[in-house]
Amino acid sequence: MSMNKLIDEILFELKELKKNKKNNARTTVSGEMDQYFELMLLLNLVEEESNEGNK
Amino acid sequence: MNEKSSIIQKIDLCIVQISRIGDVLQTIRALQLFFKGPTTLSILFIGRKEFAGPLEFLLKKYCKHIIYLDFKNNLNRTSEKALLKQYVSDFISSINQYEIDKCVNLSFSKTSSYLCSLIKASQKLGLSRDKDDNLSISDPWCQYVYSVVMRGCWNPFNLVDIFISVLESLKLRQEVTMTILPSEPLRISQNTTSVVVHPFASIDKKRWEVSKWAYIINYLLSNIPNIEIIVVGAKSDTIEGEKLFSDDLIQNCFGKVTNKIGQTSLEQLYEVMRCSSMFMGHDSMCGHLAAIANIPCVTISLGSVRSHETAPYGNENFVIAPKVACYPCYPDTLCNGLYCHKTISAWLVASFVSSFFERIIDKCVTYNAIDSFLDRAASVDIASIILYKSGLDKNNKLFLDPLNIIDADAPMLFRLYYHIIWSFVLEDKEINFSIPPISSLVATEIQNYLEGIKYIFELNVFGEQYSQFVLDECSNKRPQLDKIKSYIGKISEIDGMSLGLKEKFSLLSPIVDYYYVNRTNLPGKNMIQLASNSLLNFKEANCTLNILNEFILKTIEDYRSKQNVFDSEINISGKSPHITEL
Repeated sequence: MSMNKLIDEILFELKELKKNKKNNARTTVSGEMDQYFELMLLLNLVEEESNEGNK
Repeated sequence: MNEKSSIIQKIDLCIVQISRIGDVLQTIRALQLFFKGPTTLSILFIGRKEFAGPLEFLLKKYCKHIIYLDFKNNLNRTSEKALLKQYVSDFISSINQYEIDKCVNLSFSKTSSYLCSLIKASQKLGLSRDKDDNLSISDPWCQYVYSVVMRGCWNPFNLVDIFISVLESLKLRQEVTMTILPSEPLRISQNTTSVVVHPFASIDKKRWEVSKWAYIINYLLSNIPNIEIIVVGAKSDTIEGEKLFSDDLIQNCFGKVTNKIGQTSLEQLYEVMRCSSMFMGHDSMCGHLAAIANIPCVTISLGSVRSHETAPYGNENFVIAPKVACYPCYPDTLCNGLYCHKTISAWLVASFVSSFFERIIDKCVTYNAIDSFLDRAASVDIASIILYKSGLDKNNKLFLDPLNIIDADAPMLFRLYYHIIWSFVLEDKEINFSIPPISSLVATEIQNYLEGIKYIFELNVFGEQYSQFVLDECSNKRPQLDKIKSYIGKISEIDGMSLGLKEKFSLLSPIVDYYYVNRTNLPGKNMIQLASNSLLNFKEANCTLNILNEFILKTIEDYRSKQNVFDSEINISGKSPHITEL
């Protein structure tokens, strides 16, 4: 799987997470944010490695 | 208490440093100076496996626990999202298994901000994210790094000092005071004296072509008796190293040069440095390692290197920087000419280093190595460089003292002003520097900045007024949300205009940027608290501008009085009077 495809997959999951947040008000805020931050951390780590590879 | 909670280990301080190896070394140097020796604090260090791993032998001196982020290897093994997600999740759990009191993020990257948001700690400093995913920086020093260090080149402080200041602001339970000893004097033995040379850097812009280093090595070996040169570098420097060692000037050195490029671990390199008399090289992680090993360093700064921020941290080290308008550039600035590389002559550097050894060998106490060097150097060569010697200010912060400057330029003056201003604003500490002489051109240039200060000052006064309007509206029995929104909108417009003025008055950027970042991170749980703090922020910004205004006026006044003395002297001698441009 290419790095770009991996980034797209993470972005898609982030989008879904945001969508679910709107639909499911009962989700605990901290748990939801942790999930979001973990995905953002993963996204940034992958992007950093991708940028490093493109140098 | 259940069994699980009884085994939770407490961490006094968690340090997040996931930047590159140079940053890890600067963090270690800060710990070395801050703690002075072994500490009873329980410290957890979080770093990347590829950058912090090779430095574990140093990290272990201060950090009882180390957790590595080994994402690169995991990504090399798999690109399955689920597996990588699991790795990140496990990594976070491994950190949160500890009960962390204070967490400090010294990385200042977006990635580290998300990492810190996931770390559970009683107190956090440095970049983090709030519940709305906005960047959150609560402490002034970290706001300073984000606004001033990362956005321009007018920061006067070494990163090691900034890291120490961040650590100091944590008010750790252990009483600590920082002291710094001068680098050990040159170790000259009767037999052989070693000089470690690292002629490489992370990017081409920051390093000379190897032929210049071949000249320096040859010069030192020819002019200093009983000296050996050890050339060091990473495995990735091997090809350039081969070029260096195939140069005729090195080939003629008959085994007095040792090639250790790609042959040592960092721990072994550290030991080599500890047994050596001096380090020479470009700005790179080797310089920081030499500073930790406490040997004198001579650094040739080129390209995007900001000497004031990243010079090897030690008293009485030397930095040679080019005196060209485009230096320092930015890492992504395109440059075909590498003009800054050409302005520093290899002879000049070699001659400078050799003057130190002459001093020791001649055993002449009154002999001043620098004066001797400055006397010998051709005026053309010396005029194209700035030779800095590192020293400590009254607050134990490193500063680079330019030794060969007759007239200061505007950036040099402003860096001096900012050294005093930020020490006062961020630490409430007062220091004094004498004002260096300036030319009429510089006097005119800095006088123009008075206009910029006036504009920004007036904008801040409007900012104060609109913050006050918000407060007044909030205190009404029936506050109108529309009005509050409109006042906040005006404050945003003021921010936009201040940021716009930076283009014309670039040397005022640090003040505009710092107070803008400070304003976007104001503490406050409600509108009244936020508006009160906003009011305070604009007032503080104007106090800072006032100080800068005073400094500029004082510098111009000094310049004018010196010119008057000069003019009257000329008048006495019967020549035509000099007309000042101011």
